[in-house]
Amino acid sequence: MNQLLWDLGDGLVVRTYVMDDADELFALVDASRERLRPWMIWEPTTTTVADTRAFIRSCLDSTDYEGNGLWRDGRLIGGIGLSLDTLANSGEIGYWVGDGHEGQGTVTRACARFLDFAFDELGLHRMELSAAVANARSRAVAERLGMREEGVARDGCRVAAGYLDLVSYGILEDEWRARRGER
Amino acid sequence: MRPDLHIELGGGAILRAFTDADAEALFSVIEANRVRLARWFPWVDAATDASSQVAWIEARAGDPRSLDANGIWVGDQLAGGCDLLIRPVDDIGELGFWLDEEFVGRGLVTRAAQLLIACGFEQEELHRVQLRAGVENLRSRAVAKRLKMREEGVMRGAGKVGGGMYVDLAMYGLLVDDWRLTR
Repeated sequence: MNQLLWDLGDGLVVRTYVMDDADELFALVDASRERLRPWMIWEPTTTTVADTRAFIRSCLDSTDYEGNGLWRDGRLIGGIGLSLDTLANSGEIGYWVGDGHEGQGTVTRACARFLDFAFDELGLHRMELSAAVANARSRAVAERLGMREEGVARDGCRVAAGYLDLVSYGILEDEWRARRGER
Repeated sequence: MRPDLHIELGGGAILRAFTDADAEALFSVIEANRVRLARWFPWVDAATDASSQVAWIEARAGDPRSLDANGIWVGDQLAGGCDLLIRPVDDIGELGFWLDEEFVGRGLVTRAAQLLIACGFEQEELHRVQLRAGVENLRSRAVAKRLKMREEGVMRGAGKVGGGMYVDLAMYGLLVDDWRLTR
């Protein structure tokens, strides 16, 4: 169980989900379902709050950092997580935001904090991010973070409507440091 | 793994699932090829003795759907391995293979991979098979080409290999529809 609690300023907080978050998390997913369905592989299997409880439980039991909420002024606005590939010493970041919370740069800020964490605290060599080719908003996050586009896995994941081409982005530790102005 | 997997490769070679009884043979072939294999693969350092291989074989037995933990045998001599790890969430398989130096250049891996991929598409109804190979691992990449897999990108520094070094990985994909057309 790996717990994170980061104050990013301006009322924005990243915090690991606890079981007591299940109702609020499910309610946000449910209210945002139509917008999430085209992109999120977990949308079809999140149909009741029991599914959300099982998800939080599995996150708390895992050694990754997959289950974290993005809170603004104490209200849940989205989710973000980091999964580890220990053999490769790399990690993958994933995120979503609820309806009405898009376009405010919160995901980019939270991702930047995760990249700091991955490289400074976990000592990872590389971070990855995958987004559907047609998901322009998600791809814009990767691009704002300075991640490099590395290829497209054709039909690389399956969502409710079928398979999606996935563009993969990568950034190496030295590239992130250079971006922060370190040498 | 499928404990009953047994596929004739022709010329007296077979592909069959490892059992605990193969752990000694498996470890001694890895040991004899340690530096060669560690040039490209992350798992070599974890192969410290025969019992580490028993643990690996037994861990793989917990995944009844994947077509993995298989040895390529020529007569009673272990020549290498070929695996297809299945991601149940989207029916995508990840191919992997390696050979003892003595058996390189006989087409064993290409035949084993062809038949394992056929199993994956026909019996497991996979949608996509993918492979990642070191950019400079020209033999592996030649296998991908013979399997009619399409190169989809290069993931920089995505492979951690022996001695803590990182290699760029070329990513290949083969979709079931394309595979049917090549048959």
